[in-house]
Formats: sequence, structure tokens, C-alpha cells
Amino acid sequence: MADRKADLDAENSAAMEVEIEPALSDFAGAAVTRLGYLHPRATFNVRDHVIVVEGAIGDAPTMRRDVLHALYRERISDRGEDLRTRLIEGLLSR
Amino acid sequence: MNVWPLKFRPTHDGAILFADDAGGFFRSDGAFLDRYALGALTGSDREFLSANGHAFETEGDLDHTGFAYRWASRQAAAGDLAYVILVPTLRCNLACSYCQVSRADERARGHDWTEETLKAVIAFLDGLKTESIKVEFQGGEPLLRVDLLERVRAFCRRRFKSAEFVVCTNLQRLGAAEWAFIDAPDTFVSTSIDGNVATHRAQRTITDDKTEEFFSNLDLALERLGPGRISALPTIDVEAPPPAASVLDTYARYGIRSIYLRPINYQGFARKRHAALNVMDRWNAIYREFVDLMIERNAEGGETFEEYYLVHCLRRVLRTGQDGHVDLRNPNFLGRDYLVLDHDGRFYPTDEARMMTRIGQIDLSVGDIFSGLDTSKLDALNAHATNLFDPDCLHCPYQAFCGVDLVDDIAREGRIDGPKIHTDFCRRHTFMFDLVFELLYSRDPKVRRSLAIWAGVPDLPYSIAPEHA
Amino acid sequence: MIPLRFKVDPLPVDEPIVTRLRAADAPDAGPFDAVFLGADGPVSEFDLAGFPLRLHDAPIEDVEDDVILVLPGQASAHRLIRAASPHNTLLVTERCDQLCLMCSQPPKRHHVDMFPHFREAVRLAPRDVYIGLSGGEPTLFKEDLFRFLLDAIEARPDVRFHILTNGQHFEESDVETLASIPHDRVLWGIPLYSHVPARHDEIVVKPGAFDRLMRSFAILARAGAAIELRTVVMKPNAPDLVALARLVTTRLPFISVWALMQLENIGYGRKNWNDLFLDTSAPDAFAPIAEATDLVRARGIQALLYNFPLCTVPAAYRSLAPRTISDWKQRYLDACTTCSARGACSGFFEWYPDDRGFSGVAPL
Ligand code: SF4
Ligand code: SF4
Repeated sequence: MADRKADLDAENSAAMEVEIEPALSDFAGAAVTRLGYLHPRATFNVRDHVIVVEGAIGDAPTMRRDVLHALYRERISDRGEDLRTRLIEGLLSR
Repeated sequence: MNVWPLKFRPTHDGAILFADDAGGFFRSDGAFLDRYALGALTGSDREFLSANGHAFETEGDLDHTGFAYRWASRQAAAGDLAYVILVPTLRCNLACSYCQVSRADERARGHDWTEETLKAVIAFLDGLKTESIKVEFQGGEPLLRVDLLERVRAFCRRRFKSAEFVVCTNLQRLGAAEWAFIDAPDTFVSTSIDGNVATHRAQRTITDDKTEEFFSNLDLALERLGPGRISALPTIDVEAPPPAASVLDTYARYGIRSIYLRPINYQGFARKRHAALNVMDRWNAIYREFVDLMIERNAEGGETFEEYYLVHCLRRVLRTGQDGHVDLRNPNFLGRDYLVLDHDGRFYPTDEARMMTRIGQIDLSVGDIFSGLDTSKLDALNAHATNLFDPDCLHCPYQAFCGVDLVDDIAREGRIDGPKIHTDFCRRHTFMFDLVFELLYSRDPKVRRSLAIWAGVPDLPYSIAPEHA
Repeated sequence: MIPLRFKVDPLPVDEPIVTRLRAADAPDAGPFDAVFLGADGPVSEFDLAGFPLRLHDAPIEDVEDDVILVLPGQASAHRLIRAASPHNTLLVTERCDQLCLMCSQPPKRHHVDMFPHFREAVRLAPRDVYIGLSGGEPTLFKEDLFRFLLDAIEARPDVRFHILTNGQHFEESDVETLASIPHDRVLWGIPLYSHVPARHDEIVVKPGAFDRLMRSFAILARAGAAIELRTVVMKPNAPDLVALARLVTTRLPFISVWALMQLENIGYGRKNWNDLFLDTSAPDAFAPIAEATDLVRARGIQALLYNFPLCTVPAAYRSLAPRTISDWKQRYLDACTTCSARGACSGFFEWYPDDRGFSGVAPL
């Protein structure tokens, strides 16, 4: 049922754009890759300073949030990678 | 100040849950997420993050050390092999509706350990490094070969400093030898009560005679062994679940307060058919109903209930070192500290692996008792034994509490390196941890009451679940 | 009160003597043992390597296998180790670099190196004893202390130590030594009073003590040392307990136990009693303790209540309150005579002020 509603919504809004803040632009590629398998029925492309979503978008605010969160997650894990690696290596070398 | 990476997930009620790699957690809102993700933390953000254990000044300072300690104590350390599941026979004197693949007819031949197998099993046990062993007998109905059980037990009692035995039995036909076996104080009984009498009959015992036989043996076993040595679990049919209240009443009647709810594990064709019906969502709804009812009952005072796996997940959220359950730990190396040994002498890393191999889906056996463990196959599996570097788990706030179930991934997805987020394991545990955190942040006094009982404290303060505005 | 000293007829010796008091028929009496000869009225007479050792009011059945120290020319003998007691504490020094508001043993300048005697005493100690080391501040003589510990745990694999220290003197360079002490042989009892640095510093009367302590905790954690965190609950720090509990779960997850303690009315504790003593039996006064213990225990860290009479603790928390007051300084009140919980109850310090103490003492 929920899926059918999503399909209807998707028809109503076949494409949407989510703006990428400059601080997040380096992470758009990684975010788009991950979004692709989280939402297999939508497609995601980076164009200039936006991510273009096409296909089964579903609820637009939710999709917008998911895209933003995907960008955030990539930035957070990228920024944290050094701490993470040092921690794991530090503990394993003991 | 350095802030450890925080993973986040929107909650059912519009907040955002944050957690770090060591399992520290809190709830906040979208505005904080924006500040955090874009590197614009305020002074009060920093103060909170530091007090809640998500930050440090310099490597090696106490904040850093405390975090590293918590992180390290969440990594399961697989010890020596000290837990073996033995299947001395595949034959059974029942034919339960959901158990066609893991049993053979009581009169069938060639489904028991041979004398050579028994000797090899004993030689194998003799070679173990551990001083304390736990042996679980499964089947089939293991008590059909109580003679083999006796010989294994006698050997283990001699060989190990401490030895504990569990027999997973349908308690159906018990003669003097069977009673003598389970009467021993180092031996525990694990059985199934499928909810209530009607369901138990429908799913398992079918006839009145056998139903009567089971329940009177259960009474007798409780009387002889006491409730501390008997555990039972219900297998629930998602399409025809018994009413939750009747299940709790039945278990209460037998003094069993910890109930491990499990759905029927469909295999092969049945699995495909059920998958189409969205079994997972229906199971979750049934499960939730049971948990809500337990919470109600626990608030009434008197004897209390717990759902075994929910309590385990709750404890994994709150504490470190909760690695006693082999289905949920990280890393989860296969073939290290426990092993399954089938009726034909073949080793399996888990019981599920044995089942899958049996239905011909894939061969997950890892050697046999005569030629030893197949370490290269184990190594190939174990390359994926941790969730630390999984690209989905890495972004998931539940990573520190969650685990890995390689066999389940293969069973359901046919591969171990597909996106985690689409596996049954991930969906099930996302549901479990969503539930745990929903309860932890609940303001309902009845929920608090149950949480306190499950966490083993007189009262669970709200401060256990920090919020940052 | 059980005596920790005996009157002794001075011995004609120039060196301090550590000896063990043995029964007349002790089959394994060694050259350092004093063997019981007989009672002469209130005086127990022992044979100490040919010299007569005469102890007053020390019946052999009370003192058998005790280890005592006799100093030249002194009329009293120190009972270093009482064989019948689970609480034996050796005083390393009377010096200290803190001046805690509730200190039960206020520091003095004076210091005599007792380690040589302690070394002897440990050698003569009965099997499996648990020996406390305290002060003053034992780690002011850290090198001697370490040497003593390393010797002792090697010489006596059955003996364990509990050391009370303010944690102000551990250095990164101690990690190796500390790590060489097996985790189950030495428990370091270390006080922390608040998560607010300034409040902790005020209570221990030493600026910077909190920060120094945090550094020491990191050092001890790296060395895998066993830690008993000790927090005396008082009026000034009771409101901090819940936040302190959070600090324990985040920064000190490696401790073995968190002990929340009631105040002892002696030393500075007596002088400051009215400002410090918190009547935790009064309505609501126990609430921060309940919440703090619930918090850490839910997270898998052990918490205990030391020196709390059972009837002053809400029923659900009584299992956290073991009998902790050492037998030689412990007593009960009149109310306790009819109490069914007496056998499990800490009771009171000998010097507990009946009129300024708990309002809620009543037999269970
Ligand atoms: S398996 Fe799923 S729920 Fe578990 S840590 Fe990974 S992403 Fe999270
Ligand atoms: S009445 Fe005395 S013995 Fe009884 S609990 Fe209270 S203090 Fe302890």
C-alpha cells in the first residue's frame, strides 16, 4: 500500500533538485553512490551545485532529508576516518 | 577539542538519535545535526559532547582513554572452542509442521552417529584446549539416543574441570533412562512450548495423546528439575500467531518468565512464498504486541516477564562485554569458540548453516570429525566477520551494539558482500534497536518499570538517555 | 573496640623486632616466631629466641598467629597483622599533600620508614590475607612502595593488597611497573568527589588536584590497574553525584567498583561534621545516591555503599551495602539490639555521634 502511494507521488514529481552546500560538495559523488542503492527505484546525479533526483521520489521532504543526510554522513565519516584509524591501530598494536 | 565521529538516524517522533563508535549515544534535533555536520558547533554543544564522552583534547588523556577502553570492550574476543552443539541423531518421534528438513523418521536408518563417529567425537573433545565445556545436544530428538548422550557426558565429566550439558528435547516419550539423564544437576533441558496448548497441538503434537504426554512430562520435569534448569521457547507462525496473552499465561504457569520469541524459520520454497507476504513486517507487529503486553503485565507488580532477545539488545546498548549470544556480537568469527557437529560427523559453523546445507541451498559444512576443520573455508567466511568497515554499518548509529551474521546473509541474499542494509539481519536489528531506543526515551512510567527490571536495577533514571537541545 | 596495641614489658634489644605469636604446640614454629609459654595472670608470656616476651591483656586465643612489631625501649607492641581479621591496614606514612575536609587521619610532618618491618610482616602473614596500605599518602614514597609491592607479591602469591592513595603522583614512566602487577593482586582505592574540578579541589584542599587525578587515572587505565573509586557522600558534593556517575560511565569505565561512602566522625571529619554530614536516611536525601548507582549499574559498572547502616538505606538498595566498617572500630546502637539485619549490617564507627547522626535508625 505504502509502495503504491510512493509510485503515485513519484509520478507527480518526476524530478527534484537538492542544493549542495559548498562545505559538502566534495562528498556529492559518494553520497549519490550510496543513495543509488538505498533508493533503487530513483536515480541520483550531481549537476553543478545540486543533486538531481529522478524516478520514484516518494514523499518529497523525506527524499530531500535523505539526500542531505547522505551528504552529511559522507562528510562525517570522511572527517572521522583519521580518528577512527588511529584508534583502531593504536588498540591493535598493544 | 576532537569529536569522535557521530552516526545518526531520525527517530519515529522527529528527533535524531546520535551514537559514536564506542556506543555512547544521545538524542538531539536537526539544528544540532546541521551544526555538527557542517562544523559549526557552539560552546554548549562542545560542553555537552565532552560531558557525554564523545570528545577529547589530546590523545592519551582520560577522555581518550575512557573512549578507547569502551570501544575495545565492545569487540568480542573469541576464546577457545568451549561450546559444541552435537547432533547424535536426526531421527525424531514428532513431525512438527515447520521442521521437515531437520528431522528423519523415527524408524529410518543411517541418521545416527556410528560407533566410529562417537569415538572420533570423543577424541575430538579430548583434544580441546578449554578446561570448561558446554555441550548442547540437538536433533532430531537427541534423547532417542540417550545411550550416546550418556557416553559423551561421562567422558566430559572426567575430562574437563567443569562441564555443562543442555539437551534440546521435545519431552515426548521419557522412560527411566531418559529421566535419569535429565535428572543430573549439571544437565539442563531446553524445550519448545508453542505458545499455548492449542497452538502446540496444531504445530507439534497433533494428537490429544501426544499433547497430553508433553504437558504432563513438562509438569513432571518442572517438579523434578525446578524451573531454573528448564528453558522453553515458542515458535510463532506469523500467519496464525497465538494470542499474546495466552502465551504469557502458559509460560507463567510453568514458571518461565524469560521468553525467547521466534518466528518459524521457513526454508527453501516456503521461504520464498512467505517473503512475498512481507513476513518481516508482520513478525515485527506481532513481536511489538508481545512486548507491549509484557510491559503492561510488569507494571501490575508480581512476577515479571522479559523477551530474551530484547533484553539482550538492551544490555548490548547499555553495557560492554555482552558477547554471550553467538548470534549477535562483533566481530563474529565462525568456527572458533563454538561448533555444530552433525549426525554424519560433519562440522558446521552454526545450526542455520547445517540447515541450509541440508536443503541443498549451498554447502556450508566446514570439514568433518574425521579429517578436521576446513580452515581455508572458514578463513574465507571470516574475512567478513566484522561490521567495522562495512559501508552501511559505518554510517549506522547501531553499529557498536550490532553484529554480523554471515550465514544469515548468505541464506537470504546468497552473498556476504552485498549491501548490508538490504539483508534480513540488518532489517531485523534495525527494528530491534529502534525499539530499544524508543523504550529508552519513553516517558511512560510503565515502560520505565520494565526497563529497570530488564536492566537489573531498582529504577532506571531518565538520565540514562541523554538529550541535547 | 579491639586493641591494635598491647602493653609489653620492654625488651632488651636495640633493633625493632617483627615476630609472629604462636601457640605453645605450633608444630611449624620458625626462628622468628614467639612461642607461647603460658599465662601469668593477665600477662601472656612468649619465648622469643630465648628472650621472654610479656604481653599484657593478650590472651593467646585472641592473638594466635598475629604479627607484631616491638620497638626498642618501647612499652607497647604494634599489632601489624591480626590473623583473625579480614581488615589489616599498614600505615605507610603520616605525610600527605592533600588536606581533605573529611580526613580521618590528618597528616603530620613526621615520617618513619616502616617498609622493612612491613616486608617482614608480609612474610609472616597467615595465608590469603588481604592487607591494606594507607597513610597519609603512600605514593609520596612511591619508589619504596613499588619495591615493597613487587617483592611482596612475588614472595607471597596468596596475599592481596588494597592501597589507599590520592592518585596525585603516578607518572607515565610508572606504567611499566604498574602493568607488571597482576590485576587481581593490588586494588588501588582512589577518591574522587565531584565532576566539577573546582569542587573536588576544594574538598581535598589542593588546587589542581582534579586535573592531576584525571591524568593518573589514564596512566592506571593504560597499565590495566584495578581501581576502587571512592566517593564520600557529603553535603557539598551530594548534588554532583548524578553528573559524577556520568563521568564514571564515560571516562572511568575501567574501574572495578565505585564505592559511595558515608562520613567517618574522626579527624577533620569530626571537626567539619556539621558542614559535611548528610543524613541520607532523611526523606529524599538518598535520591541522588539511588540515581547515581542505578546509572552506573545499568551500564554494567559495579557500585557499592560503604559504611551505610542498612536501615538508613531504602530496601531496594540494601544489597549494595556490605559490612564495611573494620571490626576494631565498629559498634552498634541500642536500637540495634532487636534488629534482625544486624549480622549483615555495617553498624557504626566507634566514634559515631549518636545525637548528630542519622535520623532514621530503626531495627529491621
Ligand atoms: S547490520 Fe544494519 S543495523 Fe546492524 S550496524 Fe549494520 S547497518 Fe546498522
Ligand atoms: S538497627 Fe542497627 S543493626 Fe539494624 S540495620 Fe539499623 S544500624 Fe543496622
